[in-house]
Amino acid sequence: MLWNPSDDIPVTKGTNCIIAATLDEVRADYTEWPCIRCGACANVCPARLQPQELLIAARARDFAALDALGLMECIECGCCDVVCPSHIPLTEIFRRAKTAYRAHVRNVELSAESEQRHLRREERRRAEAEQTKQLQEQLKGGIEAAVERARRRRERGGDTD
Amino acid sequence: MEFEVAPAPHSRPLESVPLVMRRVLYALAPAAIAYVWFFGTGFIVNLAIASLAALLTEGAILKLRGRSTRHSLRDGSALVTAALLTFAIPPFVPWWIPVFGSVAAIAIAKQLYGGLGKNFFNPAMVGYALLLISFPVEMTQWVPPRMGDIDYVRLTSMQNLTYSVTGELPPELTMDAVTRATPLDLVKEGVRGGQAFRAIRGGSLFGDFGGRGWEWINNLIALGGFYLLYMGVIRWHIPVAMLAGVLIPSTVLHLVDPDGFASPGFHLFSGATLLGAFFIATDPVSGAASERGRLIFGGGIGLLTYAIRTWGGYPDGVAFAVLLMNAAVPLIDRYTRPRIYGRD
Repeated sequence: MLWNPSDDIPVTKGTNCIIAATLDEVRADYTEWPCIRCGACANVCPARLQPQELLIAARARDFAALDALGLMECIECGCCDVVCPSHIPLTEIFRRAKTAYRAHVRNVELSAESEQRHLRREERRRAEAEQTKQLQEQLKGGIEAAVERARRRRERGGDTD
Repeated sequence: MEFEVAPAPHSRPLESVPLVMRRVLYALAPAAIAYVWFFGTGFIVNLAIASLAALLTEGAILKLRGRSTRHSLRDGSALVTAALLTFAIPPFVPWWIPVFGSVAAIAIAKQLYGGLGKNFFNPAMVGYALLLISFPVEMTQWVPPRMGDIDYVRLTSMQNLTYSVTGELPPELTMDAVTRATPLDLVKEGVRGGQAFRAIRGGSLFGDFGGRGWEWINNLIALGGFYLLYMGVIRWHIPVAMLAGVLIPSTVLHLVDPDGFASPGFHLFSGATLLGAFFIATDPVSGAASERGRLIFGGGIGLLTYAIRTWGGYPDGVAFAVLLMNAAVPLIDRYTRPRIYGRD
């Protein structure tokens, strides 16, 4: 979000929802304790993920591990957040990790693509160079033949034709 | 009016780490009271010393690491470690035993690995194992339970405290007059020496299943364990698997040779079987995380405990079994991940 929401902002057709909660219905503070691997999150996860392991991989930006642990299967339901005794904002961390993961996958695809493009270009340039060389050799052969013909004509002496 | 921005979901968390740790301490309270009743006030002295040493060590190292001491000390995990360590050591030891155990548990096993949540090994069991190996004499100073017909000299609370602080017994007493071998020790040495288990069990230190006094403490530990299960602090997989790991081999071998192997009831109600099953092996940080992993982890601890008790060099094996299985946890976790919903 680019601005701090305030009640001056109108409800538009792009507004997804408005939550009207009292202060004791929402989370009061966001201080957290370290993950104690209690497994409460894994216990409630409807996608049967292991959020405690995903958390470590997400913080380490270990995309291979995130893929193996099934980050993209996370449906962002928020159950793990609510049961976490360490008050870790897991859903938010996974949401960000997904963005980073998508960017990573896209980067990998792009770099693979540009590698292919580079290889194709190299191949093309090599072929062009080959062709040029052949042409040059043909030309050279033609010139040499013409010079030869002229020389023979001179040797036969004088003005023919 | 401006609003704060916060990530979804906005609902309040249901639990907190301090609440979890507090519940563990509540669950230990009845057993602690029984412990004091049967084995004297040395337990309280040890608990106070161990807790103080644990909190000071944790605070000092958090300070060195530049972490918020108030926030981290409030989580109560150091107190749980101190309490478990106090249950593990004899109630009648010099003051530096609980200090050494606590400092080793918190400084080496916990903070050097990165503090709460990062330790590979159960801190209380690292402290206990270090004590057991470094100070084997002090760690065998178990006093017999307070039972009318057991013949021994009972120290007053004052004498116990004096011994804790100065390491001196009243002049008319010797260590042998005050301490006794534990039931596990008696059975181990007896069976080794060729005595029949059923004959050893006739001794005045033995009750219905395990040692007298010990049985009651273990009943209350099981009660605390059921409270933790009911409150959802722990789940059933590790306790059930660990108890099965102890009970299945002990039942089979006891049925085969009733005099050469202790009965399953004795194993269940002696030493740290129940404390281990409900309070030590269930430490989430150093234990396996998935359900199948927890069954393997708990079962391994049970089997190793039984093996160390029966064929090993120590009368009880819970601490070493827990530490060995702690080392296997990353491997267990790796191969027991549940199938992700919607994937092959």
